[in-house]
Amino acid sequence: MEREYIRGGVIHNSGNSVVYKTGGWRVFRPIVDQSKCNSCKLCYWYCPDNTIIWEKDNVTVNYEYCKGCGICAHECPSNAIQMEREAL
Amino acid sequence: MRMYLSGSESLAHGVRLSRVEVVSAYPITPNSLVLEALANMVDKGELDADFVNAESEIGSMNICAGATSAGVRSFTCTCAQGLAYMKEVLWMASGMALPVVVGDTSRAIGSPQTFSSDFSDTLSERDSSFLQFYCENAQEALDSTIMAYKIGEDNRVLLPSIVVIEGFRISHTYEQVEVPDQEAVDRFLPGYNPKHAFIDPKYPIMQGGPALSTSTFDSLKYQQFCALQKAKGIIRDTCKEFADLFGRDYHGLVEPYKIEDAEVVVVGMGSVVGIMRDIIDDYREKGHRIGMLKLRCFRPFPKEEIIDGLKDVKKVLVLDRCTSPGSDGITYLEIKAALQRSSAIVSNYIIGSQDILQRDIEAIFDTAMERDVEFVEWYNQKFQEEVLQFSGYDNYEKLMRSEDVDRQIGEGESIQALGNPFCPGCGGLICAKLAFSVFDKNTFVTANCGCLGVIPAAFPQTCLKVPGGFFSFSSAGAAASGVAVALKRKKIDIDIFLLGGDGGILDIGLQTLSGALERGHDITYLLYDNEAYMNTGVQRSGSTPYLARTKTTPSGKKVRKKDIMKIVEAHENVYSATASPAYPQDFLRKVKKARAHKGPSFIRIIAPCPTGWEYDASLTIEIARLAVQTGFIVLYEYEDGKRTVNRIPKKRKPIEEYLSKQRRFSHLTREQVEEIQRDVDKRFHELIGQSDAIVPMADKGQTDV
Repeated sequence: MEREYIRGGVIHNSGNSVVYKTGGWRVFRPIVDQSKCNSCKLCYWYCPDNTIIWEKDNVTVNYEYCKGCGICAHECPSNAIQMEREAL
Repeated sequence: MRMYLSGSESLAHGVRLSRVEVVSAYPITPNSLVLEALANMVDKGELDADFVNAESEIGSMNICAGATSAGVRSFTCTCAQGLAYMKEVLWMASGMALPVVVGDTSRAIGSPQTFSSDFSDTLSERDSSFLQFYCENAQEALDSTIMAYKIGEDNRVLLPSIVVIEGFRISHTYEQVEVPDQEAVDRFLPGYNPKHAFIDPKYPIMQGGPALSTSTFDSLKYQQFCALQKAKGIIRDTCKEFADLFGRDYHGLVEPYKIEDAEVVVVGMGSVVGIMRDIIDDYREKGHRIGMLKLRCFRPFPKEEIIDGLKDVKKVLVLDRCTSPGSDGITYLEIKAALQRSSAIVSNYIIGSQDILQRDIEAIFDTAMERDVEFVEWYNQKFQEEVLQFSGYDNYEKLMRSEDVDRQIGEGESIQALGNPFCPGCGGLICAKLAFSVFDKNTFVTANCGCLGVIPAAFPQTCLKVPGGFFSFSSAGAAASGVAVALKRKKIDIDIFLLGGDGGILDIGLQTLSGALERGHDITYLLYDNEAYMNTGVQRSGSTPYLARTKTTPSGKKVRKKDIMKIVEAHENVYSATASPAYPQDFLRKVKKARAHKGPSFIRIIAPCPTGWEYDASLTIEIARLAVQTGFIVLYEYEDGKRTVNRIPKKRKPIEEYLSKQRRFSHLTREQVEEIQRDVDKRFHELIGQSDAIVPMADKGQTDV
């Protein structure tokens, strides 16, 4: 078969947006203080980019994709997340 | 006066100087700069016109047709699918002899959609009896607009025109432009005072009636045909008069450059001719007898000028940006036909929608000079292997070899992939991701133009792991209906989830939303309401709230927001609800209910937009929460004719807390804030009064999400 784009601009590779790592957009980095976390899971719900990883009541941030919007830090009821400026 | 303007702003100055009285437009990239410039001129009082924000392109064109039928000069602008969506009205306007001017920031017609220009939008309207002017730069955009009114309104012509500037290449490029004085333009272009079509009760006339006898129809169409032929002479005369008054000579329908002694002539139109002029000078210095013919007008077609200018030329190379598929390049076809009696070798080079650099032009010139036989060639059409790989060609090959390929995701796996191109802190994206968490592997997601439209696909990328489709902006509901019917026939049990913004659902998409709801297809609609056209750069929509500032309402929107929920409720058996991303439990419960509902369901969710509402990205949820706490939106569900209000605030916060967080409301006076407060109070009490059950918010201290 001759190699050309698939007709109609159809994408046969679902979920391939995973290669777009948007962590490089970030100006401020969310830092989680586990000792302050009360496991309310709000950051997990509110993160637009699904970059809060929630495992066994433990919160980590997927910095490969986190754009640094700061919603998690702003919404955290126990102030467990701080935004720190990324080093240049 | 010399000014530094983009092509779009220059075009807008042409409209201002033509003293247009009605401007109507609908946002589309890259056209938005034109309508924003005009909205600003009207707002500042520099242009005494009514600026009508249309709900679609078919609306904006009809608004202009209506205004011009009343005897008032009007202007609209659009491009690409927008012009295609106007099509019916374009033919109507020319048939009714209404000299409207359309500014087109040319962009190719999808699918696939793209932002670059290949003139396929305007050239495919070549038979609509519009006069078509193609501009080379910002200056010509201004001048051509003024001339278009003069030519189109001439009693021998009486036709609408389209002034074309290439999207981005001209529309967004800044240049020095000589902006003439109003007095001088007034001398050139008198006021519009039509005797053939106007509305005046003292002299009743009827316009636009059908001509049901075929001979009547044909003779009216023949008149229209002749008007375009006559327009040629009038365009030539008008250009002469313009040159005498303003000192810029456009020579009529074509602009020749060094063709008198040329052996090879390249024919082109649009921005590419600017660079060609310089390169021709270089080539002539090297001793090559090469020249150029710039097509200014495509309709009427400058047949006489082409025959006269090119009959003795050895070789003619026609640059085309687009083709008539199944035939050849569109301008090539006509030039070839005009030169049928000449011995010139006429070749065709198709440059598509791409930006053309100096070295490309030189290569094209060299090819034209070298070859002695007619040829058709395409510029840079080679595909990129990495794009092909990325789009999943290997999977497709397996499928074609009839291998058994199972690419379905697992039970409980998210249907959304990581990685997306949206702004940090996007409220719409929070709504979408929460909703996606309710759906499973048996889901079809569809979206249309709008920020989140590219979740399903922006070739060669998709953010989804389930089937998805991107359909027409104006008719997402209809496309989803087709999918629903077809999948039912195929006995595929699947949820159909339609994600749309306020433009695609409650303005241009309202008709097919209503159609789909009325027919009762089992589709879950999610309206992420960011209250303006954010994807095209923040223009007001039917959902923009009262007094909010957008680029097309610079001092605040003067009318109230459309209540889409009431419209949805007017359909039978629809589950509908409002939601806010600040209350995810409430929202998720509603999405689950919507998904389970047999029949159509509709959720409108407020989607704060940091870019358009102008606030810090970290405040998205706080603003979405304040919208509920102030009563700006009320969270409720409507099913079986009953309304249940969920999470009503015990004591509403003042609306000022909500407004003051967003710079789109920063211009409000104290009185205006009070006015909005009264509005909110009124709507809140009305809604509560119409409700059958009310659930209060959780007590303070308790997490209420």
